[in-house]
Amino acid sequence: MEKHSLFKKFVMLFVLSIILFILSNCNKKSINLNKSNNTTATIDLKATNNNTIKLNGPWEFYWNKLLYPNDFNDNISHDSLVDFPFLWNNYKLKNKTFNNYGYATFRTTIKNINKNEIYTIQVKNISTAYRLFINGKLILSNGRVANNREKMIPKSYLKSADYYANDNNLELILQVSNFYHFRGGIFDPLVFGKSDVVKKLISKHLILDTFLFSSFLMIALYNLALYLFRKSDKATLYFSILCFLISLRSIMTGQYLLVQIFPTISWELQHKIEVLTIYFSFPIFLLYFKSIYSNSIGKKFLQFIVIISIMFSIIVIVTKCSTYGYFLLYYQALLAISTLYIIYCLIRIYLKNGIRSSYTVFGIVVLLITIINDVLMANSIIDTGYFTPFGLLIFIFSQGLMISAIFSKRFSKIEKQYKKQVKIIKENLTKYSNLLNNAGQGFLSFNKDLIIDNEYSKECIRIFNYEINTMKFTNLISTDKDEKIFLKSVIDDVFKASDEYNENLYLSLLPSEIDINNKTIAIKYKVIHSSINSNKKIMVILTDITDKRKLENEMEKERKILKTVVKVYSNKKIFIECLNEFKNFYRNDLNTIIKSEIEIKDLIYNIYIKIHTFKGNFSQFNLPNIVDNLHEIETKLSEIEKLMEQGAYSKSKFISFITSINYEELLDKDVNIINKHLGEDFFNDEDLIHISKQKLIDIEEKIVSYFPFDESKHIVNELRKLRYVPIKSMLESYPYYLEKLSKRLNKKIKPVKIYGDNFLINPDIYTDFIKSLIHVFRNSVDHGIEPPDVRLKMNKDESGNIKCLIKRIKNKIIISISDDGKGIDIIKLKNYLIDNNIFSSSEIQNFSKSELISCIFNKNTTTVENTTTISGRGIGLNAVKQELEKLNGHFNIYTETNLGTKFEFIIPYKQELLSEQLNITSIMKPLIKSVNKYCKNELEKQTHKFDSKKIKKAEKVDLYELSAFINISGLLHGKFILSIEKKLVKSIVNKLFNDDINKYNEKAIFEDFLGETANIILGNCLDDFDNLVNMIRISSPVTLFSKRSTIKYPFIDCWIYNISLNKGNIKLIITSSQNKFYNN
Amino acid sequence: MANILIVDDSMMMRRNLRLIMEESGHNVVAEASNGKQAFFAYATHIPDLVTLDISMPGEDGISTVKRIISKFPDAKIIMITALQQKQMVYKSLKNGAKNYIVKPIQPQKVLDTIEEVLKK
Repeated sequence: MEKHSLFKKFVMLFVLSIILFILSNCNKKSINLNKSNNTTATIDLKATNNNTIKLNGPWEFYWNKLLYPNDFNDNISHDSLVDFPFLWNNYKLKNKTFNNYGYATFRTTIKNINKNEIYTIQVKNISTAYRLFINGKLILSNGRVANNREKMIPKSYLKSADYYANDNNLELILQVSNFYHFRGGIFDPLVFGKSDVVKKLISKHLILDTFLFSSFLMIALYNLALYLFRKSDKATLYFSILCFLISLRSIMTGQYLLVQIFPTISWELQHKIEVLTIYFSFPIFLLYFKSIYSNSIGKKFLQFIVIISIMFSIIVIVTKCSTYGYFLLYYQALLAISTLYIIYCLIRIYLKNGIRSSYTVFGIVVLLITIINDVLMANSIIDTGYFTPFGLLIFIFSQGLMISAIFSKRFSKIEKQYKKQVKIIKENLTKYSNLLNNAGQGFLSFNKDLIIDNEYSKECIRIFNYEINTMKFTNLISTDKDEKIFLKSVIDDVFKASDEYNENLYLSLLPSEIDINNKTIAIKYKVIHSSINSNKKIMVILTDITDKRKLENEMEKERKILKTVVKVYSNKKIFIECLNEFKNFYRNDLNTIIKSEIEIKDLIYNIYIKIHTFKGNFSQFNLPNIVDNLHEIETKLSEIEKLMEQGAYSKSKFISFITSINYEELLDKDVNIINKHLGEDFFNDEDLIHISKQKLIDIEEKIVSYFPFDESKHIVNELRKLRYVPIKSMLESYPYYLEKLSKRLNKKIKPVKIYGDNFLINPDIYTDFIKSLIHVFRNSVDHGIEPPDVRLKMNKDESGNIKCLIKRIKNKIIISISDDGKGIDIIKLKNYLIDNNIFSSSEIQNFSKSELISCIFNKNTTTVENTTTISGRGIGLNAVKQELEKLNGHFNIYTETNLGTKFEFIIPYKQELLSEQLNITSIMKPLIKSVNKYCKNELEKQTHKFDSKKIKKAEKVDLYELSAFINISGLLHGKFILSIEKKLVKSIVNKLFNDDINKYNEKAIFEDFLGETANIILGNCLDDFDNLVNMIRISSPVTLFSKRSTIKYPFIDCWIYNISLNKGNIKLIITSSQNKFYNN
Repeated sequence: MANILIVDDSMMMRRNLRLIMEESGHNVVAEASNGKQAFFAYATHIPDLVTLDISMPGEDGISTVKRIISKFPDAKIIMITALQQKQMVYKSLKNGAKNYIVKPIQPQKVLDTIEEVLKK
């Protein structure tokens, strides 16, 4: 801080002293002597010790006279004695003013010079032409002196001449004329002295001027170079121009180097350039100033100065000195005021920026002071000499210093920033490459030349097994020559594409999936536009989907096997029949056929037919291997047949071929699959299901894990149903049992019948309960049904009647068992209850009849005196009650004496299925909607209102003449059939293609129409099948033409919906191979 | 809404395309079933847009593109193509077709492509 304040003080002191110096010199104005006309002007050299003298005066002044040495022989009186510098325009003499334009003669005598010595006289700036006589001899002249403008030629530059003194006194006569400059007279005093001294002085000045000129020029060029390297920094440009102007000016003033080098330059031009340098310099200086301290000077001020300067410059260019010269004064005034303003700004800057602005402040202050000095000097107000060049030099050096300081400061700042940025970039780069390397996807990019860039993610190496940089992209993804050429031209077009649209258009032609090194790779492409230049790159994203594909394939395989297993299992009987037939074929039939004496051709044909049939049979079960194996044999057989025709194959050869096949082995793989899933026992028993429950549950679990839930639930339900059994089958052993029992008890009963609904129940849940029903049946036979003789007496049929009725009402199962026996003896029951202290007699009074009867289900309650092995212990019915309670069921007992008893058990129906079946309505309704939409577009404006009651179920369906079949695979394994009456098709097709149709193409058009129509109808409603759309696939339609055809799929229901339109009928048929549908 | 010429050898395909276009308000000015017809239909109607099947019996799609473009360089042609015909698609694009649609056609895709090509 102290240093700063010291510096500040120093600057202030400096400025102050300069101002004082200027003021002290500001004195000489109009102190011209008004001496007597008759005194002659002399300058005594003795008075000065110096070897040179400025010939300030006094000089005799002769106005409007051009006097030659001879003229002074006559006594001519001068107007006045004057001192140089002398400008006559402001000069007053006896109330007489002098015009700027005019001419005059000056005379003086130098005394006491050394005789026989060579002297040199130097004349600098005289406005604007002169002649100098010494001792009557013309020594020096510049321009042409004349008494009018036309004759005179202005010229003004430094000149000097030698003179050999042959006398002690020298008479100097100086003729001056001016009709050009706005100021006439002598600006600089003549310099006189011994030749060697003056010459030394001149050369000293010359060297100085040259030095200044070249210094400014060098600085100008240096800064221009700086600017060219960094065009954003205007300060260097302004500074360069400023220096250039100053250098130009420096050779136009002082020693007038320019004119000395090019003496032919006209005075007018020389002067114009000189003035213009002032008009240019100032605004350039301000621009420079502002570019360094942007807030230093007002924008409006700057604009004002620039405009004014331009205007002044124009005036200079278009007018002559006599005109523009006057304006110079105004400009100088402006300059002076501006200077004050700039000083004010400088102080502000200095206060604000302190030391940082010291270079500028110092330089400008010095410059300003020298400028002020020179302005004053030029106006002859002071006589200090011209300092501007030095001021400028100091200023420029200070600026150069400052620019260097700024630059080095900026550079170190940038360097620091750069290092920081580099660090950040490096960090980011590592971050991104980590990200890309660990993304598990291959990223790479390439340019127009197709060469892979060095930056690609690690996954690429794993995918391609080698480093891929410098590889060509086309070679990377293709090995086929033609394909490479194709890819290259497509990629070229991507690069050539002018917009995103075309880029994407061509990118879409590149492969989206390739197989490479046993891997499946999905490829995505993206065009990347560089933000820096207009270069394009294509980025490629590679994703290894091998595992996904493998898994998909494996799942598909497993899915197929499971489907096979389910199919085999649910059609076991048929399957085993097929199997046995096949076994029978190769064990027995084959030999018989071979041995039969038929022609070889027929022999082959017979075997061919057999094999073909087996192939068909097995393919029903989707068996993966045997079908292919049989297909191979079939192919071989047809080959043999051909060879046989050519006589190239013998019967014995054929027989040895056909018998050499190991048929057992053909089956092995498939049999093993079934064994694996269904257990070895599966094939042992041909009629009864022999499969462990656990096996089924395993399959279930497997399916759940391999199939999507929505799909699995249907298959699982199918499987579960296989574990379930029809309720009647669980009861079916009772009739036989009861028949035997009644015989043992010497009772007669009619065969017990089980009536009512049959439905699947989960045996795990209901077995115990249904087994317990034995007690109820037993009771009926033992206690209910009377002995035959008793029955006859009572006019009853001698055979008792026991019935079992099963009903399912919503989610309740009702099993009722009734007999027409004697009924429950309520009195006996009452007594029993009282006797055994189960209830008191008073309690029993309050019991209703049914309450009382239900007591027989209590433990140890019986109405029988003698227990038998069969019943009577009062235990059995209680066991039923316990089982019933486990299922949350309840019972009712209805009994009438001698008429019979009816037990009614009501239990909840539990299915444990994953979901309900598909409601056919949910499929049919969208289909009808789609048909309606289609009809609306294509046919008469007739629509059909959907009515779910119109959905019919049938085992076989009659088709109309034209039908289209679409296979539906996936969840809804089945078919969609669209059957249309020919007349309707005809009317539609005629309407659509009326002119194009003829009997030759009719059929083709019908086919075309039918297939597409089926596609449209089914396709348009896929989205409306809730949740199903993703789980089903539809094949292309197959069309059928036939007069009268019926379809029937064994064991499969067809769901039909008829639509009657004015022009004919449409039949929509949906089948599901697994009978997935129900209708409510 | 544009005036469109449909070129396809399948009558059903033409119908489908026409329905799709008409439903969204386009005007099908003509249909053609081969390249020759297509060229004459184009010359007669000067439609805003053409959909052109890439494989047709006789003169194929590419030659038809060439033929139309040589006479009408501003024609906007969309190729209708099967999945495995990328090289043919490329050739058509190089010969002046503006875009392509892969069969089986999806109505929205068809309309989007038409829209895109018309905008250009």
